[in-house]
Amino acid sequence: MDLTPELHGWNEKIMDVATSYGLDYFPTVFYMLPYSYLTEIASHGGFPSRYYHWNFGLEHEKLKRSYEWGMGKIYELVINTNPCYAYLLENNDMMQQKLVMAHVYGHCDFFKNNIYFANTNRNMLDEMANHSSRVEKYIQNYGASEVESFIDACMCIQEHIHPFGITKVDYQEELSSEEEFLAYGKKKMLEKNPKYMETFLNSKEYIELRKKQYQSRLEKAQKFPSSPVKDLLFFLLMHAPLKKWQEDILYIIRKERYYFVPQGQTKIVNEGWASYWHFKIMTEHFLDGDEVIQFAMDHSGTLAKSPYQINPYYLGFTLLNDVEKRYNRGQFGEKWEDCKNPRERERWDLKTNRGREKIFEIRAIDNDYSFIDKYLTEEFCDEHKLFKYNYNQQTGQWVVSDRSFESVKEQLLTNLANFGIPYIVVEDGNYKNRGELYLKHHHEGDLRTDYCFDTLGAIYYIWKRPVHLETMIDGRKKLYSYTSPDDKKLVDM
Amino acid sequence: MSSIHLTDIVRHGEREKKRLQEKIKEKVKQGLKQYVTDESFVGQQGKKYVRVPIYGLRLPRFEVDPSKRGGVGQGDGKPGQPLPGQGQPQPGQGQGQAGNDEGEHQIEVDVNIDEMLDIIGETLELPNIQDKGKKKKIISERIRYDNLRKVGPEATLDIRRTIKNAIVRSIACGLYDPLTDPEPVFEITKDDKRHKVWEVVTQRTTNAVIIAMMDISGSMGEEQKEIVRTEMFWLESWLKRQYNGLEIVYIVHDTKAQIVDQEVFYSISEGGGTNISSAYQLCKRLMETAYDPKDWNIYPFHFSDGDNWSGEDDTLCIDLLKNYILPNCNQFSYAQVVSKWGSGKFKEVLETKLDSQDRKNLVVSVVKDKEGILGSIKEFLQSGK
Repeated sequence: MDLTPELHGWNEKIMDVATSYGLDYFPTVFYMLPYSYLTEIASHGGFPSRYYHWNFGLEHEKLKRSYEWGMGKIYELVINTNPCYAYLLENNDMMQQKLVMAHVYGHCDFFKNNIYFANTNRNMLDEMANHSSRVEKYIQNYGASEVESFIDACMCIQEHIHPFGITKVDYQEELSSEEEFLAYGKKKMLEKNPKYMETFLNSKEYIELRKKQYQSRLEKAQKFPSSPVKDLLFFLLMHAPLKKWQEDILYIIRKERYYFVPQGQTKIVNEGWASYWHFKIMTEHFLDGDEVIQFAMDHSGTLAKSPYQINPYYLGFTLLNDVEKRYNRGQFGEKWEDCKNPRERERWDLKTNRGREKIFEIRAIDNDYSFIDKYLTEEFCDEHKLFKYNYNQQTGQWVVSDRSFESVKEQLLTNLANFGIPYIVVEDGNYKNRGELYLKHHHEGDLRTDYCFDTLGAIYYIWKRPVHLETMIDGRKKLYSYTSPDDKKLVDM
Repeated sequence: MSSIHLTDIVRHGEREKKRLQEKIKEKVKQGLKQYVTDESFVGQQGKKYVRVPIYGLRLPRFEVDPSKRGGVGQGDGKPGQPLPGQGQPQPGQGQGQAGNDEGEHQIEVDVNIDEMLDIIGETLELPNIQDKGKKKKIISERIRYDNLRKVGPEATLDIRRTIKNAIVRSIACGLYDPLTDPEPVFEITKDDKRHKVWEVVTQRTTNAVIIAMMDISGSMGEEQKEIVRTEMFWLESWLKRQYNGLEIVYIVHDTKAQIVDQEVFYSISEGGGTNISSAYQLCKRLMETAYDPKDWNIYPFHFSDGDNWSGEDDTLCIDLLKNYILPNCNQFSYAQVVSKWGSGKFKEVLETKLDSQDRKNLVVSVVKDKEGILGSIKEFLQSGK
């Protein structure tokens, strides 16, 4: 449903204010929807035209239920396309609609200007619709269950792509013979090269070194892939024995995944930025006296704190405000770092007024990882009571383990790395020279053991040969081997 | 410029939901043993849907074990202090992106009991119960109005239809114009009248009764009783579907037997000695008085740990079974639940003291643990008697 005339009026006003602050966004189209539609769309990643798969139905079921039980409610939904599409919830009151619209303009500005969104396909709606009709065609031609099981398998591993999308096709290197290699590496002087210099220039040690180099190159060339591949989907796409339609489905899933990557990388900054602007725009321009309390409640509701996780809205919003304050008062640079006197630090104000400029810079070039890495300070951690927690196996409880700035920051960054998904690479595509797939987990924490075999089974379904995964459990090296659906083993290494 | 087609989502959405339901059914089928023993069902007689957790619906993925990783939180508390609110464990959700707690591993869905029974029947290859013609009885005569007639007694006049006809006729004749006349003025003629006509419907229903007997003596532990209740629930539900108007009598016994209502049967916990004959005596009395074997299909079920107090009582039981109960019932089902304290001798008694002619109507089953429930149900119901 289109906007009511009243909302339309507010939209124009909010747009003008946003522009006056220097926000630069794509044209934005608002739709008003009942909650059932909103959950339906949200469960499909925001795209009504997404391809058909039951897992989206499951997502929808979960969203619907959490709403019915009052555990969570979606306020807004923006799709990063050009123009941006945003949905408003039908039963929200006028103040909430204004808040959401202001919030949406923050997101749209971020989508347009953040470097990580530079390569996003802004016609994704069309592309998704395209994907959907292709999947539909395959269902017609090859049968629903056939297509479904393949999509199931792909979905299990869809996160395993390269976060920056760089994976080159791995061509086997042509290797010259050892003689040629050594001859090529020999050092020569100019034409009048006296014979006696030979042993000096190409000493025994040097020749040995070259021989070793040749050996390692030989080994590498015999390996497949020659260096580990992070982008598992790409590897499978290139090398798994797939039919044409399967290739296309794998391609579709990988492509759509890449569309969502920047959003995963910038959750904290993006939500922080949008919250910063809805707060600014609402409090400085659009709040009626009788709306203040409701606004304060909704605003603090989205920024709710939890002992179990950091609310990205909260962290983004407060950290952006902190940065703005620090750069307004010149609390940065060498002198500031060197100053250890707390009282002096408190009163520190150089009237630099560079805060706004700085946060616009953050919005342009940072993602969550670099944002936290660069701007999280010890004072901030203390003020907002951040702590690191761990699970105590003996008592079966979660306990506060550390409050020091270093460990809190380290933990935050660890959990942000690779979107919190285990870092797994393809180590060998021809393991034991039998075409088996050997994966290696770069250990950042033990894997959940109950899922390992099932996930390996999904890869087996695509690769059609045994799949192995090297990982660590409780400090010991282990190998999961999925040889066939009836033959699964977990062995020490 | 792209445009959003909201109809797309609705179409796909319905399809996805339908497929999801199928998937759930598949999962239930795969894990039937587990679901049959799920406590969510017991005591839910008469309900259409029961909410049960479904495992393995969620697609698997490589995931770091939250308990091995740790996270960052916010709030008070010194190092070493536990986090608040750990009544239900909430395995850490990274920074709001990686989080996937146990709760997502299983998802609770509403399962239709009828569908569950279909699945059980299909999986165990249970036959439908054979028709026993002579034991049918007319149970009710009902009057149903399902026709109209132009003449009839005034009492059966269908006023709404009659007036409607009168108005239609008046308008057609030009006597009344609803657009100009503020009040409808019309006359009811004989032709407008409609009378309701009734028909007598007789509903024929099979008569069947379950006599459910449970040993609640001290040697039956909580676990054993749990098994009995679960198994009884499914037997009951299955037979209910086979017989229209199934009646159930619940009997519990230690040294004495008594009739209890359903709620008590499914929640009682007692202790004491065991005289199995007391229950059989009561069963016999019921068959003699309330449920005449000539008119009724009778299904006695007896659950015990097989620990009877005395040999004398065993003889008494055999006598009751041999001379009255077995010849007069459709099938006598005895389930022996293995218990740590029970001797489990009663099963032997049944097998040795009764000859093959007597044992024609007797089914004996041993239930070791919860896993065994499904097998036992099959043994009881596979004959289709």
